[in-house]
Amino acid sequence: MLYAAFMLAILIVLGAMWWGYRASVPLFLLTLVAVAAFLVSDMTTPIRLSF
Amino acid sequence: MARLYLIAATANAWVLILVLVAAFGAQFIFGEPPCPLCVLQRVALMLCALGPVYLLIGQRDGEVAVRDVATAGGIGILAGLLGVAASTRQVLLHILPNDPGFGSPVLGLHLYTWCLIAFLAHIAANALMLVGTAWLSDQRIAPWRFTGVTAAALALIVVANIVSVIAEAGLNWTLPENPTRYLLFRP
Repeated sequence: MLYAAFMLAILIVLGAMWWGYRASVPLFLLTLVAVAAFLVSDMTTPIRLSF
Repeated sequence: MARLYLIAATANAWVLILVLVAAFGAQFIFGEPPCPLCVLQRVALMLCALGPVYLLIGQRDGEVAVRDVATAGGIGILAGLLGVAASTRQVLLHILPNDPGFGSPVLGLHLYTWCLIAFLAHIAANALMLVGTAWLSDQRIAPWRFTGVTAAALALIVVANIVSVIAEAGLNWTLPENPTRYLLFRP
C-alpha cells in the first residue's frame, strides 16, 4: 500500500503539472523526500562488500 | 534549438516509459514479482520521467522557456540520484562472489544493474540539457504534438504499476523481502 501511495503521489504531481498548478514542483519535491526517507529507513539489511 | 530540446525531452520520457514497460514485461514473462527495492527503482524511474514531461507540458502555451528547461533538468537529476541510491544499494547487496543475484539476468546483467546504468545515463542526459541552456533563450514555437500522448503513456504505466503493486502487497503496508506470489489473490 505504501508503494501504491508513492505512485499515486506521482500521478497527482503529473496531474498538477498538466493542469498548470504552481504546486506541482513542491509536490514533486515532497514525494521525492518521502521516497528517499523510506529508502533510508528501510536500509536494515547490512551491505556485504567483497573487497 | 528549442525544437531540439522538445525532441530530447520526448525521447528521454519515452526511454524511461519503455524501461518501465520492459520491467513490467519481465515481471510477467519470468513470473517474478518485483522485490521492494525493484519497486522503489520503478518509482524513481517514474519520478525521472516527470522531468522531461514537465518541459513538454510547459510548452503547451507555445513557448520553450529556459526556466522550464532548468526546472525539468533539476527534477530529472534529483530523481535520478534517488534511483542511483536504490539501484546501487541492490547491486551492493549482491556483490559477493558466487551470489546468484535477485531475479533472472537480462543480456547478462540483472535488472537492478541495468537500472543503475539507466539512471546514470539519465543524469548525464539531463546535465547535458542544462549545459545546453547556454545557447538557449525563451522561444515561441508551435505546440508540440507528442505532449499529450507522452503524458498519457506515463499516467497509464503509473496506474498499471499501482494495480500491480496492490496485487502484490495485498492489504499489507510493505512488500515481503523476497516476494513469490501476489498476496491480494493468494494471501
